[in-house]
Amino acid sequence: MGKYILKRLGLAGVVIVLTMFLLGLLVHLVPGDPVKIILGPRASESLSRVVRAEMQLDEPVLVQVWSFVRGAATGDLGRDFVSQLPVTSLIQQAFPHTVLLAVSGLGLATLFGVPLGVYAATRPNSWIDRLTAILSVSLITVPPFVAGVFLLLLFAVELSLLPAIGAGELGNTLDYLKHLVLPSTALAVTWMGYIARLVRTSMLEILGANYSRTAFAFGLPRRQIFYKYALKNAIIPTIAVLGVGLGTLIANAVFVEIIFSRPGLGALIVDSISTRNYPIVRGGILVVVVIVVAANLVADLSYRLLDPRIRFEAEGS
Amino acid sequence: MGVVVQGGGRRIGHFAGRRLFRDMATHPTGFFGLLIVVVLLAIAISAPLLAPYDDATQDIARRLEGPSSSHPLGTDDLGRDLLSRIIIGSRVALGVAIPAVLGALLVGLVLGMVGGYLGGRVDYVLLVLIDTMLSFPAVILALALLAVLGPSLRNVMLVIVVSFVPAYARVARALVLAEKGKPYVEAERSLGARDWRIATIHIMPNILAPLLILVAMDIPSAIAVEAGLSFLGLGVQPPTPSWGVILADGFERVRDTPWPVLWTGLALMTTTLGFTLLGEMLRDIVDPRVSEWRRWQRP
Amino acid sequence: MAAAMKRSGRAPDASSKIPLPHPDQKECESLLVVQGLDVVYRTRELRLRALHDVSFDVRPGQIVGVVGESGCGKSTLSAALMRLLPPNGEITSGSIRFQGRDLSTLTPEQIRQMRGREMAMIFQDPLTSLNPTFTVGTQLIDVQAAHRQGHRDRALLRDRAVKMLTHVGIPDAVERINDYPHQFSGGMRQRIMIAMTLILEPQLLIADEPTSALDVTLEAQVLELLRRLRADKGTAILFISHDLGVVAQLCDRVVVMYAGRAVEDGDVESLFERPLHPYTKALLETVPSRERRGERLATIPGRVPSLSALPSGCKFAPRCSFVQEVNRGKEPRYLEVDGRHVRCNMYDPASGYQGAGIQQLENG
Repeated sequence: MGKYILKRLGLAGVVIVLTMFLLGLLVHLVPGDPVKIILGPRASESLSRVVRAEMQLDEPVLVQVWSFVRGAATGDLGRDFVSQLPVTSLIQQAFPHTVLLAVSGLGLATLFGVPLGVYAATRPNSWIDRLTAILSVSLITVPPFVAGVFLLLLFAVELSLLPAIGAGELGNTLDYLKHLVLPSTALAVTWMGYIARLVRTSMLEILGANYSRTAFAFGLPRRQIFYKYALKNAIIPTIAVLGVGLGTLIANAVFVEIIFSRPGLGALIVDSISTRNYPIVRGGILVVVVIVVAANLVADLSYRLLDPRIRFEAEGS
Repeated sequence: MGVVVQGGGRRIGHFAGRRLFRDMATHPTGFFGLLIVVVLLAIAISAPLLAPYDDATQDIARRLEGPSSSHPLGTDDLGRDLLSRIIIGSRVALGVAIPAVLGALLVGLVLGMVGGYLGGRVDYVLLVLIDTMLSFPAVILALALLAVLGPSLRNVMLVIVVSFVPAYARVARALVLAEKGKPYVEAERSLGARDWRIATIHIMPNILAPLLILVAMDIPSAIAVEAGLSFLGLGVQPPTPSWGVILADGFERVRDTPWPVLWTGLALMTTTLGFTLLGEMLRDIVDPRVSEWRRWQRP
Repeated sequence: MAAAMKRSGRAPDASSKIPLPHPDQKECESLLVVQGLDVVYRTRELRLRALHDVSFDVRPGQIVGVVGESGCGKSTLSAALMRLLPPNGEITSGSIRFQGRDLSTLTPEQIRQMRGREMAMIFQDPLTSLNPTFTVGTQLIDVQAAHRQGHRDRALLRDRAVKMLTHVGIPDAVERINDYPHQFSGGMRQRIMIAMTLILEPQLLIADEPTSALDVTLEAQVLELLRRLRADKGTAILFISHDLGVVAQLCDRVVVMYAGRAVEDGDVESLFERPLHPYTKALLETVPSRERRGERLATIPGRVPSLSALPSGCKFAPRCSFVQEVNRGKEPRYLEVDGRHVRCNMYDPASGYQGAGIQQLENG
């Protein structure tokens, strides 16, 4: 197990480093003058000069890439074009909002998805089960930004129940939470569907397995078989899938941030693309990738720790 | 042994038409999905004929109106008829998503086959690249590329292809590896068939089925990605009526009128629902899994 | 035939039969009485009769074997007894009486209490029969707690579990009780299953091919455990198997099944020495023996019919060497002959079979 952890960490490291290189190279992968690519065809002279200097475009390509990688590894992501602020600090300001959003979205999805899935599994082919199935599929197929827009429309505009803009004040917990409800629900919607379905399918498979047959055959109470024995087995693949989907979750956070005008990495990156503030885009994307890779790593390791078959390597027979 | 066993894993070449229809009949949701997709395709193809108005005709005097007899879905902020824009938007949606996903399939298939068949170092490098690419969420990758390429419909297609290729490459590679070990490949080799011939004529048809299912499941994702990027202003540029664009315009004025947002959202949801249901039905047909309580006893 | 079997070491050996613990117990007080049992499975297109008119009984402390090839309905039978048929299976006719009570009159809670505590079951595949995410100890303790043994004192239950594991031959039980199932070998897992059964001391143990997945040495050990179970606790055992040799060694009575029907039953000696039903006879002839070294292995011509395409009349008729036209028309009745039962028109004068009556089949 320990060896695997090291291998996995190594792999994660490789991916991050590779990403740094790719991002450093990005501008040069596209044919054309890098300055024009970054700033667009109508770039002013002064701005061009700033860009040239900041990105060291007069140096050979490899030097540029290397200096970016080296900087990124030490936490320096350069300065942005417009206000010459260190990119790292801009990102640091935006980062917590995004993380909070993602975590609460995931939490909501789990909170509602798991019980729904378990409930459906314990009553297969009942009307509840069918309803859950339909609901899950519907939820899955709603693109998150559509969900966000609809939620905003319904709750913020039509019903004026919840705020539509901003993240609220960080100091004021209640206010912040109020501003968090709609965005995190928008994020959670798709995932609720996935989780419910996944839990249901896993549970059904587990309940049909031989060891569940044993549990019934020895007269264990139904409650215990479902909620202790079956559920524990079902959680494991659920976590595995969740881990894989974390990347998508964070990507969807981008949309939700824009829709609800929330400060965060997503909003930062998208705005910077529009304003052609390339260093922020580059740095922001790197940070997002690091988050995603880290989240995947955590999910992968925790699912392996949870499954005793993997945690304790089997002794020979 | 007892009962007639229902077999799984049939390949494309072996589809008996009757069987296909019978399977579909027992899968009402999938059939519903198929219906939606067919209707959608019909709308998209006949869009110019179907739409009552042109997608650009403005009627400023009647902007931001709700549904009416002359504008069944209402008008947008420039007085353009929503119904027409959405109908023509379906062309954009499918016209971007379908070719893009098919393109990803093509490139991914080739890459996967090359890696899987040749093995060795080529395969290893491919694998590492694929895994790295897969660590990027699709949207993030899209953002990175669009930042340098600039927003446009063509670039969105390119971005979708690039994002989806790794998944196809990985699946294709896995399938090729599985096929490589099968007896018929060895038989062909011993008859003197050359590698590329084996790969293209013999192996490829056998691995297409699962890949095509992936296509069916990816088209709604591609539609959503394109709409999303266009919504952010980074994809299809207005005035081209991509659903994302219509949604964005409508969103800006959502406090004045909910209709553009509502109709476009519904269009998107219905489309993704249809394709998803269809994809799931296809997947169940080709690779049925016992999803009910497994019988402990086989009669 | 029986002589041959004796010499190959797989014969009913009187000395291995331990007398019933209460020999003066009334003969007619059976522990389990199955009468005319019919089980049907419903699939989307078909209705399959997996069991038809199955009748037998098990007395306290008896070991009754159920033999038959794959697909004869043995597993369906055990599932039906434990009321563990899958959702598409149903008992459509007949009755099962356990300890004098008709099982169909019991509430689900009563059935649950019965399972494990009165009627228990061990399965064929030990590798997948234990929950992989809980320790062996937890599972053993929960099973006891489910039947209110030990009044919620989990430490006491743990102790009993440890003792039981030692009893079935798991070394270092005190430590190993905290291990997970995958950390044990297949043979040990089967013993853990047996421990789980023993700990509840059921009256009847249904053993569904418990040794089919084990090698000969382990098989011998498991069989020994079962024998001791009957000797020490007086537990009756319903031993389901396709292995005639094992059944001959272990059982007092045998029921032979074919295509979902019981075709013959009787005490093990008579059945093996003088089989009545042509299928039983053919089955016994397929057992290889040292006596007939160098000869071709005997097989039964034809194949077991699929449940969806059963022949009319006697199910064995297509493969029977004593077949007559009349057998294809009416299914034979399950009649008592000479203290045993047999389902064959040869023994039923009313069936129209030429020369029907009590006969001795030629011994091979």
